Amino acid sequence: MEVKKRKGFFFSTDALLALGIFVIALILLLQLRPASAPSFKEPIIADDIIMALSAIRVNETSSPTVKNMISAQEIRPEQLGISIAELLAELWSEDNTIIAEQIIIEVTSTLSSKYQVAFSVNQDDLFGFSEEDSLRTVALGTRIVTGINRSQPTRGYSAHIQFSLPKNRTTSSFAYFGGFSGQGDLEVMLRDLPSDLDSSNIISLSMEAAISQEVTIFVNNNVCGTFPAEPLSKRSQYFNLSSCIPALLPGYNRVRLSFEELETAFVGGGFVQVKYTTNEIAVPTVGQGTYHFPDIYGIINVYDSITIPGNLTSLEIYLEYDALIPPNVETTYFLNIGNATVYSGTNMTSESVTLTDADFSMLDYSSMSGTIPIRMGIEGVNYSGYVTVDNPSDTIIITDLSGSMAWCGDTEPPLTCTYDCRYQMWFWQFTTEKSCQVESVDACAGDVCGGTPTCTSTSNHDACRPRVEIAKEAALIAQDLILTNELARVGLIAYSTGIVSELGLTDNQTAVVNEIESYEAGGWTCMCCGIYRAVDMYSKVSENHSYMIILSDGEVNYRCDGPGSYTGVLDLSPASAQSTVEAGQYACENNISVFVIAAGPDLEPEWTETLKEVACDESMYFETSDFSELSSIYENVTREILSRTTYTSQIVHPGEGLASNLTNSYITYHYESNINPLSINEIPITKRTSKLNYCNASVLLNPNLRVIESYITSYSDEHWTSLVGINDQTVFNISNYGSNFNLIGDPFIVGIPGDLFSHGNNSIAVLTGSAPGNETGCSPDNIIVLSTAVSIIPPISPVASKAEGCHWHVLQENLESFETSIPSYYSGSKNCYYHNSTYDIDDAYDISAYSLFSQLDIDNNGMIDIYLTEQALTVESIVVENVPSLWGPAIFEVKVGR
Amino acid sequence: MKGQSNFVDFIIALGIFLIILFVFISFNQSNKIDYSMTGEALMISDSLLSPGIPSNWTETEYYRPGLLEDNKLSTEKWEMFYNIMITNSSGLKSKYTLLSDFMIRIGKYNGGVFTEIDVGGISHITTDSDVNPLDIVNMHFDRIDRMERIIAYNGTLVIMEVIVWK
Repeated sequence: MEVKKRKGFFFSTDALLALGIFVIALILLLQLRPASAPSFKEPIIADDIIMALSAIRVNETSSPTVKNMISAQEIRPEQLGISIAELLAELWSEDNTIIAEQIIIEVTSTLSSKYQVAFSVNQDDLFGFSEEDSLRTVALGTRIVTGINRSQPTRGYSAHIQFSLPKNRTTSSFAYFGGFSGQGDLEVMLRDLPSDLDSSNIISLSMEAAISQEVTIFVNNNVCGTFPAEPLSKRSQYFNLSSCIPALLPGYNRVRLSFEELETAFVGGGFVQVKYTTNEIAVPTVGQGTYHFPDIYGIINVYDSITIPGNLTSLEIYLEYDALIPPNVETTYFLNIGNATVYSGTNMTSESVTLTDADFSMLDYSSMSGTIPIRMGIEGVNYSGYVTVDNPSDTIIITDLSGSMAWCGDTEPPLTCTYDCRYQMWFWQFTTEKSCQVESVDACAGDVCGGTPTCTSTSNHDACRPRVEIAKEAALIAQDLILTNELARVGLIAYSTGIVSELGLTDNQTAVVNEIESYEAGGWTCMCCGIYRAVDMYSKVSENHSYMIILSDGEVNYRCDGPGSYTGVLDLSPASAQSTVEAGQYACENNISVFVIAAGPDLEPEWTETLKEVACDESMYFETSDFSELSSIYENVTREILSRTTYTSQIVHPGEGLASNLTNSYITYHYESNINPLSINEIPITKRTSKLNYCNASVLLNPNLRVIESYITSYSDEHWTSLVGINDQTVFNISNYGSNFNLIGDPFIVGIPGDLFSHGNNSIAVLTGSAPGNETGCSPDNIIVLSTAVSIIPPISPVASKAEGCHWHVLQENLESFETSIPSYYSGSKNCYYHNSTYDIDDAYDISAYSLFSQLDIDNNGMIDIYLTEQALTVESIVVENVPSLWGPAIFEVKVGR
Repeated sequence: MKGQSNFVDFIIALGIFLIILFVFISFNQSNKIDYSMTGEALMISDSLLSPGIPSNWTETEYYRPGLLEDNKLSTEKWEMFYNIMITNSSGLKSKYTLLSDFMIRIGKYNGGVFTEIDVGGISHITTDSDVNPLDIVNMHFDRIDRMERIIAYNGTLVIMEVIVWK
């Protein structure tokens, strides 16, 4: 019994223990649970506080601190309408956090015993929690506040600066000459000079042009002076015509150039410029242009161009000329536009004609865009007036006189008959070779040469012309042709085992002929000796165009040790061929045009490969297996050289008794412009490069510039502007209009479309020429003019604490200093300098002015790219007071904790 | 003896079960959030912290009155709201789609105690005039919740307390 009782008691005790443990665990669990779950109410409270503080105006608040500030005028009248939240933010921006804290305490006093409130701006505490660590919940409310920034004014002055056309602006008017305006006295017109023009507002009068003889210049029949011509071709000269400034009048002004010699009475490109200040504003005509021919008193000979910046829609031409024609001459006056003759008048002694669109069926308007050449001139029966001009040139004919050149060349007479002659002397028989010239192969029989010894019998007859004789004949033809150029010289070198004959560069044709006649064949073949000797001959005496004609009949077997080596070494290995190729390329590298002629029936392929490489390029290598063709090959090569050393110029011979005058003539053209004009906020900047000096130039275009239009000048003198390209795109190619340049115009100004320019470096090339493939370089005086637009945002300064102004000194790209007071009425002593950023950063005027000049400094080099005095722009400024700052946004935060 | 032993165990187990049940119910009761009441409190307070619909509502023409004018408590709207409540509290409740009664009072905390302030001579507005604000905490309701909102009034921050109950 007791055992059973004890057993039941034991179970009850277990249950009580389990209960105790459970209760303890439950108590612990309740202790560990969160004191308070996160509430959604605090964020609402935080937002409410922000909204309420944004609603209470400064002049409404019951805060004693704010009221005191209002009384003490520490709060400006314009601040009375802002909210308490904005006031707190402004106080923060002014580093007035102590006052802000006091205001917060006062306006939140009604909450403080229930809620703890903290304020911050941009996480910069204005008023923090007193016991943050003890807070159970913290909620955040935010609002964006603009117009404030730490330690920056919230109100102040803002200056707005902009450009405007001034009353008095500087500008220029031009009268252009074409690529060739001639021949005779010339007259061009300075048109549409402003009505307020007089001597006092004319800055300069000048001419830049390429001329070939002394010229006397008149303005409105007043002599400006007589000026000598500089003897250099394709160079522009500057002519100061300021003595004629008093003769200039408003409207139209005639500028006349008077020459003595009719044949060189021309201008090879140029312009007359008058620079002045005026109150008048010229309104540009868009979609219409007029080209005025120069008035000519002598012989009409005009090479020029028009530039159509769009699609041509209509054309009108007026021509007025008179002529004096000798009885035995029939002449035709013609006007070519592009490659089409739009007017042709035969034997007209006087003509005035107007041509309209109906007369231009030969023109394809759709293809007439850009620069189109114009040519007006004279041609006719018994009159071919074009002048052919020689250029200095030196040609060395190098002839192979190796033993193989004695071999038979051909069987054309005169032939050399050779045969073995046996004769007897006493009791002995002897054999010798006889040779003499015969007229035909058949004549080469028996002892045809006669003389002693007398042949008892003959054998092995051979009638032919040795290669050396054919080579001599060809060389004689070549030298004869070359020396038709009066400025050409010929040199001779003959080689075999070494140099066996030479004659220095000379125009003495007798000496040349005698030297060639003396050639005899024999020995090995050292072509490299001949080439190196010729190179030295050029380098000592020649600065002219240099040419080399080399003849070979086969394998080279002597090698040279490089430049200056004329003796050579016998070497039957490929080294001789290699040495010869090196000699040829050496000559090419020294600007000598090397032509190679390989002749003979026994030419091996490896020999001809070597000879090809000796020539400067394959077009200068000629080959024949028939020696009889040698003369014609020499002639072709020589004519090629002649075409490179002579050219037909734009000048014409006046002709006996022939005269013609051109007056009042013009071409008017209408077009649909493809130029994007200036837009709002764009201002024009005209950039003019310095003289290019080379035919290839690089023009840098900054990223914030837009090219509206541009042109390149080309002082082509008596040649033609033949090619203009930009960035590998051809803008003008005279060959598109034909191969006879005498019938094609010659632009002095070639337009380059603005859209072909890219930002960064632009490669621009210009060339002149006299015939297709005959380039004549370019003028070093060419320039490029860019009409560009830069987008200017009229600067409005940020809010600054003052607006006083400054006297500005601004450097321009031409290193001239532009000075101006901003605002214009500023009379203080403060000086500001753009190039080194010297100005008052707390002055609204200064900030705005600096911003403006920065926009005009395209390449950020401290110098503005717009010539303010030339561009005729002035600076106007406006200041606005009491402007709220535009700082921000800043984050205004309220934290609520409990 | 065998039967007695089982009875004692049963009594002890029942006790343990009842204790656990009591603790569990107490624990759950103390943490219960009446989301429907909170939602109503939030809804009425949001509506009151607005200009109302329409914003120029009057005692006779209103859809859902609000108490703010220029984001501040408008005395005029407060008085109009009071008058509407006096005459048509049930209609007003239906405008807010409320099932509960509510009381609104304006005040501030002073030493941790909410103190009513007069707004146009009116310190509180209630749908049930029998309910005294001072006693409301001691009164028994099936469900009750309250919400405080901060509002700009008379150049300072005041507290608008909204109490809803059933």
